[in-house]
Amino acid sequence: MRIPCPFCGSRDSQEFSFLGQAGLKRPDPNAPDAQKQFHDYVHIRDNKAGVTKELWLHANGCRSWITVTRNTLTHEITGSEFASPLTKEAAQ
Amino acid sequence: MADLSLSPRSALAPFLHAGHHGAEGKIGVTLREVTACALVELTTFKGQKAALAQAIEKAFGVALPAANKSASKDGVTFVSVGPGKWLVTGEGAAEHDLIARLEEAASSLAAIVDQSDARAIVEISGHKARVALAKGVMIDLDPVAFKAGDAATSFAVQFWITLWQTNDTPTYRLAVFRSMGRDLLHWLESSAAEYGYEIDVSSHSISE
Ligand SMILES: [Zn+2]
Repeated sequence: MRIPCPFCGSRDSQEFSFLGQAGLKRPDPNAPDAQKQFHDYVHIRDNKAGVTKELWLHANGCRSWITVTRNTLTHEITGSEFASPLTKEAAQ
Repeated sequence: MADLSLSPRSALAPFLHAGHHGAEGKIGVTLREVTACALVELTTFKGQKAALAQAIEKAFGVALPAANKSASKDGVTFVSVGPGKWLVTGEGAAEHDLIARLEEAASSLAAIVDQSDARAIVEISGHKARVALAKGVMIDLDPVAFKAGDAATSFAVQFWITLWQTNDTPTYRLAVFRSMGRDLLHWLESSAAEYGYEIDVSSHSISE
């Protein structure tokens, strides 16, 4: 599998490590139902069949976190972008 | 009184066996440790990239290279290693004043971290250098895709490498964490053996 890094270009997937679903928001630890919210934040995932957004680290490359758009049915990767706007700014 | 002055020690000297090895009667590859070389990692501060590029251009006469590129002038080489990050090498006169020059030019614009004793650098050159490297490096080294001035951070032989090509011989340089230098050298020797290779230790002049 090849993954397009927005900085390095197309690279072998062995250079990357996978974290999981992108876009999770860390809950407020002071919320009244914080325990339930953290349970869901840590454990509950959409497990979608189709197009997903995932976080990958280009660990053995430029060391950037990137958000990869991947179809879990076909493994087709249709895009990637820097996960952090700061990384994006530094790359320009 | 004991002499407490410190001097740089080669990462690889104990493992370099000068002379010809591998296939007899031919030298397809030459391997050399790059010594007497200052190394700095330069990381732009938030929002300062344009100012940093300007400061480096003014102080070193070099445009900071874009992704997958390197740029050199007067013994100083900037290798792009990530967004807003460069590995900078200094040789010759620049070995001794690289950090001071970078700090003078850019200490308010970037983090300047001395890596001189943290990496090992091996140079591989010769008409078989490309095929020897290609056995373990996952990026395309064909001259159509990778030539002098090109650079990459990638994965080879189980570890993280910074690789850049310095001329069309071709000559490549590989930087790895210092403790992995021996393994890198071992792999390069295995890879080059079928072409015949020479280990050049002429740059190891200081006692190591
Ligand atoms: Zn990358």
